[in-house]
Amino acid sequence: MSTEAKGGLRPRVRDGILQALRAGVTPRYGLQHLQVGRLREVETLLEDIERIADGGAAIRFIVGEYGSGKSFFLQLIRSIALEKGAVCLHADLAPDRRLHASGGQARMLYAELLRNCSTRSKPEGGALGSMVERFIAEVRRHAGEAGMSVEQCIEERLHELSESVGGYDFARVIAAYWQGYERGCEQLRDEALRWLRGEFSTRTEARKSLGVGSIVDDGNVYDRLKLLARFVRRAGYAGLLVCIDELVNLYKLPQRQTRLANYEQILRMLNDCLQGSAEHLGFLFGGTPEVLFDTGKGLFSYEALRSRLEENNFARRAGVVDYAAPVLRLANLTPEELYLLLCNVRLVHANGDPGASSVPDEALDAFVHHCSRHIGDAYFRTPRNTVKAFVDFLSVLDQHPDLQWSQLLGMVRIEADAPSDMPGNVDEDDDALADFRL
Amino acid sequence: MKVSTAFSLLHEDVRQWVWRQRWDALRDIQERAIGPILQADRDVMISAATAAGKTEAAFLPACSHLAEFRPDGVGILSISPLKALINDQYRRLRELCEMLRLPLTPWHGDTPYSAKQRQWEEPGGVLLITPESLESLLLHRSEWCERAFGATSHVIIDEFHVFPGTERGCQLQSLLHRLEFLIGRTLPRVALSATMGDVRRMAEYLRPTPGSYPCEIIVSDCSHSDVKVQLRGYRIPPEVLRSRTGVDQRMADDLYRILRGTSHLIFANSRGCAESLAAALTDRCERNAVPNEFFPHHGSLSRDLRERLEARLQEEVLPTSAVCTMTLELGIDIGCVHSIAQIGTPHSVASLRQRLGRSGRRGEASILRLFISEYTLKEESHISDRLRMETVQSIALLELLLQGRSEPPPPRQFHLSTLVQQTMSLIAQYGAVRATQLWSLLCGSGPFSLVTREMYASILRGLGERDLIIQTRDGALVLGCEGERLIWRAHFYAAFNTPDDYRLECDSRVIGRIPVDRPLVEGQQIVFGGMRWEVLNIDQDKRVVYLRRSLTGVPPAFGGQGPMVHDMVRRAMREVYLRRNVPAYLDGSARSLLQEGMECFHALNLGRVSQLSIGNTVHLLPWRGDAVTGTITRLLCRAGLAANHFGGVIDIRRCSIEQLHAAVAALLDSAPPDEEELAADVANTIVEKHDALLPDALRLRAYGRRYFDVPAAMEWLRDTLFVDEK
Repeated sequence: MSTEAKGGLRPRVRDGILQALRAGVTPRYGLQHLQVGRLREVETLLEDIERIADGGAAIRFIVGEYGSGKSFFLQLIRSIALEKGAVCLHADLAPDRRLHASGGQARMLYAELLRNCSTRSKPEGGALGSMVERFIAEVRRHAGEAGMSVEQCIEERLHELSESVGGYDFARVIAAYWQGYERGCEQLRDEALRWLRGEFSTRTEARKSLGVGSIVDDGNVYDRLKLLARFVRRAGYAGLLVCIDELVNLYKLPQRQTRLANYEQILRMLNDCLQGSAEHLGFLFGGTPEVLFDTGKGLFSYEALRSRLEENNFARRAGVVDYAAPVLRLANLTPEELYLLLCNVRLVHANGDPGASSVPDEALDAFVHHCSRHIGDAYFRTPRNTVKAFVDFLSVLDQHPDLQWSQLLGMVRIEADAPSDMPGNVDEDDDALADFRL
Repeated sequence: MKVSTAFSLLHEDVRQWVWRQRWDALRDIQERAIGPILQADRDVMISAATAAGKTEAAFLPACSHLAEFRPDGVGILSISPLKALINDQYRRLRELCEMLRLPLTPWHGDTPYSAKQRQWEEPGGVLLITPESLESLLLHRSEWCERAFGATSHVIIDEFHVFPGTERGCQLQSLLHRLEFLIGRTLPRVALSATMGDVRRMAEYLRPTPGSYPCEIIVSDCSHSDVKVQLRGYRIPPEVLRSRTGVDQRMADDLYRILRGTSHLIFANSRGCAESLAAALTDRCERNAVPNEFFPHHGSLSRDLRERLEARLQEEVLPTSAVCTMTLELGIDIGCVHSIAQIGTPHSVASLRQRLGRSGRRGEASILRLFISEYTLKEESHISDRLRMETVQSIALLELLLQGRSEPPPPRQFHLSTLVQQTMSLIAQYGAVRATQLWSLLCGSGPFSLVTREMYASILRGLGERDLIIQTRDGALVLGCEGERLIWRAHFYAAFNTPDDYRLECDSRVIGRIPVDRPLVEGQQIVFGGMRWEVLNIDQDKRVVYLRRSLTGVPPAFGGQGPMVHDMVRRAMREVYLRRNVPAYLDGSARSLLQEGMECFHALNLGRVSQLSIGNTVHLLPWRGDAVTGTITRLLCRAGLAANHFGGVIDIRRCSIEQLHAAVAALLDSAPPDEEELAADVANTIVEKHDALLPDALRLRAYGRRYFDVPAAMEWLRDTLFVDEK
């Protein structure tokens, strides 16, 4: 699925991909047009998705160095899961979005996940509404066939949910949505969706609008996700895949207790998924190696997680990868793979028509050579900036057909990545501190 | 009330409030501050005596600006060094802010949660805060700060004169710099300062880069300040100091008689002295069957005892006197006291003024009494006792105080300990930060401008070795496990610490405890309890000085331990001797002590001569501060002489003038050592809070800069020593 020509690309897809690449972010769709290598990893995750569809659970930690393409990989798996009929939630962790908190930050994560709720028909997010609609449609059809009232039927279908934590209120909110639907009351439907998205911040508010006494809050985020997984199944989807990227934000939390409380949530997920008590539910986490393996502050500082996530000793001694382990290490792209990636970008740029590109292979060679001379090895260790520069390069050539690629090449500048949470320029000309190492 | 053009610029509601106060007219500084502060486009420095209306001078126009523009979020950020001052400001501003419908929030450790909660949800109005609380806000609530201070129009700094040159002052500069960086805008600063020394030099400490923003200086025309002082002299036989308590009973009697019945602060120069004096005063209460109202207060008492005493002082119900050391000077909150008593010679005008500032608020005169002891003289008494230098130093300090002069802030220092604190705080504030960003904010444009990139890299590596910071794969710096522990420690927000006293031990016997705030070198002599000791060894982790009795000659009464005395003070002492006038504030005994000292000074012709040979000891009197005197002493020691200095007088044992001159001539011919080399001999270079976390070489460099002055010492040796004889 990597380099095959797709023979004509929808312009919207093409522009979306290129725009994302120029902004230095992972495109939301069309990833298969770019993907190179990692066949074995993709296959492994494909099996996971099938397991979820069959009623099982899966959890994976995608670990790779900075710039190895973790986020890209996560998005790729997400798009595959959507194709397979699953519902996907995804969010980046941030200082104000985490798994456990007392100041609303866990609810914020939940809200972000639900805002980015996507399905095959709505791959770009905001699919919660249509998901509920689909459930209602299903219920109505069933009610018609069985000669029951829709309310009864909702109750029956969600009865099982009512037995789990928070399930009773969940069922009532869905019922409220139906009432809003039936009475043509737009507001009630909106309120119900707001509740499902975790946007109510007080119980009083929820009681007033929907007559339910609970809300999604910091303490029950994971329980709500489990409920959602079962609901999604009843709405006719294959299952729920939750992608949580930038684990490094938990690692950076400055208080040990807060950090461990967050790791404890991950442990709950891990236990449920590995023991089989979660259904139709999968988790994908993305993080750098230290976030996992650092025994001082990383996941491995939490003993229970360390013992469960430690690498397979046999596999390590044998020098092979154990694809069944929850931790999946992504190797950095090799220079050859980067070259293929640039070929794919060129192909996307040329609307999927291999003959249409104005940039010949020797220009590609020269580009890679130029990058390596300009910033050294970093060019293939952090593909983001190299790809960004390449898309810029293509776009200028495209708009000015009179220009020669060889003239332009000398002007290509690639910035070395220096990520920081503090705003302001990083002065990389500074000799003593630019490449500072402790 | 007289209405001026400036007054009419104020917002109507503010004018209304002023009318209600029934003032005759605005004070001159209030008048002159209106225009510049209303403009909100420059810094303003207001210098005036206590009770000259500085608070209103700043807040009337600043609040008027808020009433006019009603910015979103906190309008005025007001920073005070003490909680007590914040509470005081709150009382003074409450009515004004109510009239303007501006929330007024005191913000410190004792602020109720509900008041803070209101600000979390809806920041606004005037925030009164300490530097330590601001540190905590920036560290833990960076996003809130960005929102709350985004539209702030003024930063007002109260009691600005306590900050320049100190760890706290450096921290404050750094905090405001970080805040401005966070909101991406320069905030006009209004500094309120007591009249002291050179206002212009003080104003240079308003920003890390002086002159980077316009600054207007307003100095009060009226120099009136209501201070009453008295200096009481006591003659004590050497035995008293050698006795267990070291308390002169007559002095204790006087203290009891004068102070009982109202509230006072009694400052002693050491914890031991504070303890025994408090005990002596309590004894007297018991003997006379009256309730005890004298309590000790110092760093080695339990926090509980100290806080109970502070609370009792704050309540202002029962007469209470605290017998304290400098812990009370450093930002512990108490109410108003009637007067200040100072036992033993103070060390600086600045500290004397700060102590004095604790009395006489709310319009009363400040009262200061100094209780100074001198030895009864004997044939072999030390020259500094014969010169009555304790008395003369006290007089010199009082003269400077009354003239409104003060030690200038020290030249810019490295402040590496505070840099460590700010580095940790900045990393915690943002999460993950690049080394170059830290350097450019803190050192490049911030207050640590003496620190080069190379020095900073070495500091960061030092922190890394201790697991205070770690580096992610992509090169960003984050807190390490130890670093987290550090920032959550109770006193992390304070840049300063109260150093523990050193324990003095001789033959495994504890002979006492003293604060050591100046360089100690092995082999050096010190004076303690009326006796001379030789320093054998120093353990700065355990804070012990191992001593041996030294029987070389009679020691001076006081060894000149304690904080460093400034050049200005020693020069003023020389003036006191030369001018021969006797100030009116001396009691009879102090007057006769001064007479004796002057007679000795002139008999020895010390106006002309600065070196004396008595017996087999040469004495040098450079009349310079402890940095220069100490450096001369260290240079002489390195030249092989047995030199020591006690309170400004250098003793060189087993030496003649000729030997001295030969040694100095050789010294002047060779290249002088630098300050860092001198610091390498010193055994107690861990002084400030985080000094122990610094690489040795850098700590020595910073220490040398602070405590030694090689060029001035060389200059004195070259220019004075050989000129004297002619």
